[in-house]
Amino acid sequence: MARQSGEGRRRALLIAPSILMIGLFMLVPVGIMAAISFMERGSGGGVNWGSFTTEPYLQFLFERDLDDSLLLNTDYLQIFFRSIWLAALTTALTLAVGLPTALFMALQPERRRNLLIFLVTIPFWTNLLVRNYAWILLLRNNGLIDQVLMGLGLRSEPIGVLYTTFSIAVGLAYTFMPFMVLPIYASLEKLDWRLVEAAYDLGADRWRALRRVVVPLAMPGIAAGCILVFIPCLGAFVTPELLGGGKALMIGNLIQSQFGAARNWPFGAALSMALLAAVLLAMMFYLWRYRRAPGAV
Amino acid sequence: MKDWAIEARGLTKRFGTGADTVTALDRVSVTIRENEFFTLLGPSGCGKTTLLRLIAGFELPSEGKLLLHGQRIENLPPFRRPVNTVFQSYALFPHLSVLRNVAFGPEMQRRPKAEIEAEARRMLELVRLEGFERRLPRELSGGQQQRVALARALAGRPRVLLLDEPLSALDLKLRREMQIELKRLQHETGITFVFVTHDQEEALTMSDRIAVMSGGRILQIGTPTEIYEQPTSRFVADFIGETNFLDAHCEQVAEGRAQFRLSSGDLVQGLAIPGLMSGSEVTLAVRPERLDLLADGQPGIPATMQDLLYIGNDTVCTVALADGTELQVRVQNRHGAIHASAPGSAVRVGVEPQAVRVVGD
Ligand SMILES: Nc1ncnc2c1ncn2[C@@H]1O[C@H](COP(=O)(O)OP(=O)(O)OP(=O)(O)O)[C@@H](O)[C@H]1O
Ligand SMILES: [Mg+2]
Repeated sequence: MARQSGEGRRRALLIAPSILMIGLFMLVPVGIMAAISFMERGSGGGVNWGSFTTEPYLQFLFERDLDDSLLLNTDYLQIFFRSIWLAALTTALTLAVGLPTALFMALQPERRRNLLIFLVTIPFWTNLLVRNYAWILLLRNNGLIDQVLMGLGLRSEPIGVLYTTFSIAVGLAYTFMPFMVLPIYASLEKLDWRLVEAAYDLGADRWRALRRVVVPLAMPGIAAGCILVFIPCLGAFVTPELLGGGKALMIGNLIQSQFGAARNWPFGAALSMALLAAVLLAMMFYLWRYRRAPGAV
Repeated sequence: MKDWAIEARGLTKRFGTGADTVTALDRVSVTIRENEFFTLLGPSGCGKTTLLRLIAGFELPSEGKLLLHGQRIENLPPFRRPVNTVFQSYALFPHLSVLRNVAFGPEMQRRPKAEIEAEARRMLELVRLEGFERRLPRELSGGQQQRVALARALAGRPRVLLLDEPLSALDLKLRREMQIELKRLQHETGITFVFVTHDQEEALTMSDRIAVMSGGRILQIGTPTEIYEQPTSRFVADFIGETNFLDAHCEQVAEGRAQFRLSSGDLVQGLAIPGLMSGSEVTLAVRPERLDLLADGQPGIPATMQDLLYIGNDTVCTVALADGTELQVRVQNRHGAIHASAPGSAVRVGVEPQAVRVVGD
C-alpha cells in the first residue's frame, strides 16, 4: 500500500512538468479566451473586465433588428461552413497526393527513403509568405502555369485559377503536405508486405490489394494525417488572404480581423470557441470510430 | 503430357547483379502430377522457397519455362495464377475476421455473395474451425492460425496449393495432427500439393514423391522408398537417414551385379548402376539397418567391435574393418537387448548385395 502510493507520487512528479506546460500554455490561454468571449467589448479594443454577456455568441447566429428583436443571420455560419469546406477540400487534396507519395516512399530501398523524407519536409524550410507569393506567381493570370498551358496550345486563354477556393486549397495543401505524408509513411513502413503478397496470391490485383489490405492497415496513419491537415486548415488565415485575394472570407480571417481591425475581441473569442468546439467534435468522432475498428490500432 | 499440374524446364533464378549475383535456382527441371502430394526437401538456403515463389508468381524466372496444366505461366502476375500459397508466417490479414480472411479469395474471384459466404464456412468446417468465424487472427493459437491460412488458401479453389514449411512453427503433437489433417484435406479436395519441408521424416511419411534439393539444384526425384532405398548421390543418401559410405574399387560388372573391393581389401557384392565400369573408383552407400552383425567365423566381412549404443528398439554398433574404416550396424532388439561381443572382440558383418548401392558425388 505504502509502496504503491510512493510509486504514485513519483509518477505524479515525473509528469508534473508536462502537466505544468500544458496547463500554463494551453489551458490558461484557452480559459482566458473563453472568459473574454463572455465579456462586453471595450471601447477602442480590449474588453470590459468583469462584465458578462452572451452577446458575442448571439452575434454569431443573429443580428439585432431596430427594435432589438433577434433575426437569424447566416453570414457568419456561411463563413464557418465555407472554412470547413475549404479544410475538407485541402485535406482531400493532400490525401490524394500524399497517399501515393507515402506509398512510393515506403516501396523504395531503405537507403533512399531517408533522402525522400528529407525532401518531403522542404516546404517547411521557407517562410510561409514566400511560399504563398510563389504560388501567386504560378497561378495568376498569365503566370507560369498559364504560359505553359498556352505555350503547349492546350489553352487559348488564361484559366484564372488564382483567387478561387481552389487556389487557396492548393496553397494550403502544399503547406500541409508533410503532415499528411509523414504519418501515412510511418504506418506504411511498419506494414508487413507479405500481406500484400498474400492478397495477390488470393487473386487481388494491385488496386484491390491496395484498397482491401494496404489502406485499412495504414488507416491510423491516414486518419492522423487527415486530422493534422484538417485542423490547422480550419483556422488558416494567411494563405486564404493571399491566394484568395481577400474575396472569400474564412473563419481564420474573420477571427484575425476581430482581434485586429474590428477591435471586437469578445466576438473573435466566441468565434474561436465555436471553432474549438467543431474541432473537438471531429476528434471525438475519430476516437469513437477508431476505438471500435478492429486491427486499426 | 496432360495430367501434369506443373512443369518446370531449366528454371533458373538469379538474385542481384554483377559480383553479388546469387544463383538461388540452377536449371531446375521437374514435373509434378495432378493431385500429387509433392515435397521439396533440402537444407536451408537450397532454393525451396524460391522455387515456390516462382510457381506462385512472386518472382520472375531469370531463365527457363514454367507451365501450369500445359500453359506457360512464367509471365503471369500472381493474381492471375490458379495457385494459392500457405505462407510460413501464415500472413493472415490482421484487420479481418477469420471468416473474412477465408472469404478473401472467393471475393476476389467476384463470385456471388451467398456463395462466397457458404464457401468460406465450408472451408472452416473442413479445417474444423466452426465457431471461430468472428475472431480476429490475433485471438487464435498458432495451430488455429495455421488452419485458417490453409482454409483461406483452399477457399479460392486453386489447382495447385503451395505450402512453405507450414508446420515448422508448431509443437510436435500439433505437427503430427496437422500432418494427418493435411493428407486428409489433400485427399478430399483433390488439389495438387507442393509442400516444402526440411524435416526428412515429414517428407517420407507424407509425400507421394519427393524432390531432394541442394545448392539450387534438384538432385533426385522419387517416391519416399526410392529416395530412401535408392539414393543416387552421396548428398541424398546422407541427407535422408543414416548411411555408411565406403570407398571401393569396382572389380567386375556382370548382369546387374558388381563386385567391389573395399579399401580394407575385402570383397563385397552389390548392385550395378547404369554406366558403372569395372576398374573405376566408386563410393558405396549402405544403410546401417541393412547390415547384419554375425559371430566370428561366419561368412561376412571380418571386423572389430568398437562401440555399442543401446537405443531401446535397436542397438547401434560401431565396428572397424581391417583398415580402420568405421561402419555402423543397426541391430533390432527383437529378443531383448543383444548381448553381442564386447568392444574389441572380432565379429563378422553380413552384407546382402541389394543393400549395397553405388552413389555419385
Ligand atoms: N530476394 C533475394 N535476394 C537475394 N538473395 C536471395 C533472395 N531470396 C533468396 N535468396 C538467396 O537464394 C538462396 C535460396 O533461398 P531460399 O529462400 O529459396 O532457400 P530455402 O531453401 O527456402 O531455405 P530455408 O529452408 O532456410 O527457408 C539463398 O542463398 C538466399 O540467400
Ligand atoms: Mg524457405
